[in-house]
Amino acid sequence: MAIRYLYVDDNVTATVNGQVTALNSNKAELEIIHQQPMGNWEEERNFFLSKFSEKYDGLIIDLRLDDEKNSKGLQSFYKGTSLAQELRTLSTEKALKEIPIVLLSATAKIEESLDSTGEDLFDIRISKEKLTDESFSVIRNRLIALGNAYKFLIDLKRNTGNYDWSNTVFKVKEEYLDNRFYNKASVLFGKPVHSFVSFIIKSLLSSDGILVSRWTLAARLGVDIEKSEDWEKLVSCFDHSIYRGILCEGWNLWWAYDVESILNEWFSPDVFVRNVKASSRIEVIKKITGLQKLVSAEPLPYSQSSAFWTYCLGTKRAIDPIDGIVVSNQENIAPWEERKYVSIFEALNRKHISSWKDVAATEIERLKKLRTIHSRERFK
Amino acid sequence: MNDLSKQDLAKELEEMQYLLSLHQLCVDTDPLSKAYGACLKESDDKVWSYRISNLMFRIPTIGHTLPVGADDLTVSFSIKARGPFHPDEKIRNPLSDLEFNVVISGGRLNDAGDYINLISSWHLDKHVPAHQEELTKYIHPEYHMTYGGRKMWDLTSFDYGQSLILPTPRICFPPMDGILGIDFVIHNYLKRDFHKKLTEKADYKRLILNSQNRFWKPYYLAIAKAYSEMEGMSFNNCITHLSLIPNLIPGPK
Repeated sequence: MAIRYLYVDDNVTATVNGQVTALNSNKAELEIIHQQPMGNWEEERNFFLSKFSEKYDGLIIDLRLDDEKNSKGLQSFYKGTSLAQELRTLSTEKALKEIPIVLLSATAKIEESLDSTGEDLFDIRISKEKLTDESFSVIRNRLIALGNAYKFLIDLKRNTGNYDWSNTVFKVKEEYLDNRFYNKASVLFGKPVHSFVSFIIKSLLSSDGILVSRWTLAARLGVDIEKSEDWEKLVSCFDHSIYRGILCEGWNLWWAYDVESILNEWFSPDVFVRNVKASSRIEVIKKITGLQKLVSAEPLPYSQSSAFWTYCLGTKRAIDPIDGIVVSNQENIAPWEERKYVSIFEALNRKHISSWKDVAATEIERLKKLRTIHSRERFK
Repeated sequence: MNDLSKQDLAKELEEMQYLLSLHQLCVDTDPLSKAYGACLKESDDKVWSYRISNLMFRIPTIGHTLPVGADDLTVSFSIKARGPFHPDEKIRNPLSDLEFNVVISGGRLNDAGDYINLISSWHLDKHVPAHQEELTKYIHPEYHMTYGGRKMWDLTSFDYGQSLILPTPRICFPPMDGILGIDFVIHNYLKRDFHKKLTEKADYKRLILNSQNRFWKPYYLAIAKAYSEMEGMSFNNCITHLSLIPNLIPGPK
């Protein structure tokens, strides 16, 4: 059954449909239907309380609903955040079914209009610019994943019998999960669905720690993805470690502990893979797997170590955290989350700055020193 | 040490906090968070200073305890340290002040079924004899580790059983900062299997390396000077084997 989202945006339908064409590529799986805002707060609210639930599984909303008049000539004076907040409150009061609410807006507007309270209102935030490049398929998958996840969780919460909760939600036993994460997740499961989903997306799916991303997997294997023809075949050696729990259709991740266990099996028992150079890792991997078309990743300029364990947020290339500069906004990460870094190279030339924004306050002095040391170099 | 700043030291404390938290070795890493702030506030370009108050580690059972059956062990580490930023590469005394305590507490059930609190404490001190008279008393190496210490003296009603706790011997021990102190606790009170994921990590090892270079290298080189000219090394005379190991008789060089 298709997941259907209502998309509320003050632009005219013709314009909007142009923007969401890529998302509507397979209406049997995902369908986005546009509607302009009502122009009247009471009418808007009533629409959601009456007609919305039977037709739609989720809401996509623009931040600014007050730029254009709608087809009846009415201009709305409320913002997307206000409407989203009202709908969340109605859901908590059980007046409205719980639904994913996704923000779709121009990037600049997302930055300027949202403060941190706004961040938790939306399950995910998408920039309109991203709809037209390759990331649209990721967005599509996440919209479908969210629709399915909400339905699944609402259903599950009705189950009052005894069941293995961890296995049902995450597809692994409780003992397998970090106990701090498990405790927090089980408490949040009793709260509104969007609180639980927000937590899962922020603390489990968006950070390395319990799960790892494809780039981190490549870094831990020591592989240069682009130069290795056998990369996909190598990845399939870890199929058993793929995350198949809630929201997995939207996030391609692997269980970190499993990946490490497999790696440890490939190496001698007293070897600590974390400290092994990439080239040595590739040698062992080639021998064990028989895959020959694998090229070891190389350190970026200004990086010393090839004992890669994570990746640079800007360049997506593998780095050793020793060579990494901690990115800002991570003072409140959960204890099981690993920190995000950029490479020294990226921190100095800032080519992909939109991916990381700024370095942590604790790194400012270090970056100054590095800049002085490398100031004679020219950056493209 | 000549390129170091208070921000570098503070960052190392913060890095240690992150690693301890990630690997679940501490009950609460907040003392390191406070130490980060303290280091930035209390230090300037010439002197660094910070304190870590009661960083607690929960210890799985250690075997071979006296009294038998001691369990529920917690190790609490505290340090107050101050030292100079060195302007050059000369071998110097790394600390001007040090108060360093490791307090192990736990308990056991006695035969009557009562829970008896147990405590054990070590402290690492820096001491330079203030005047001539002190030199005639017991031997007092500049950096020494002692069992017992203030934490045990402070307890008013404490059943010492048959143990005899004295302020001596003062065992020669290299100076330690917060980072090395944490490493000391981890290696002495936690089984290797429990901590190796952290202690084998290059990030962790780098923190230890930096601290050992700053605190152990001058100590051991100053002692080595009793046996070798140590050519090519420049020593500032504020650290010598005479104060580090008072009874060491220099050998032929």
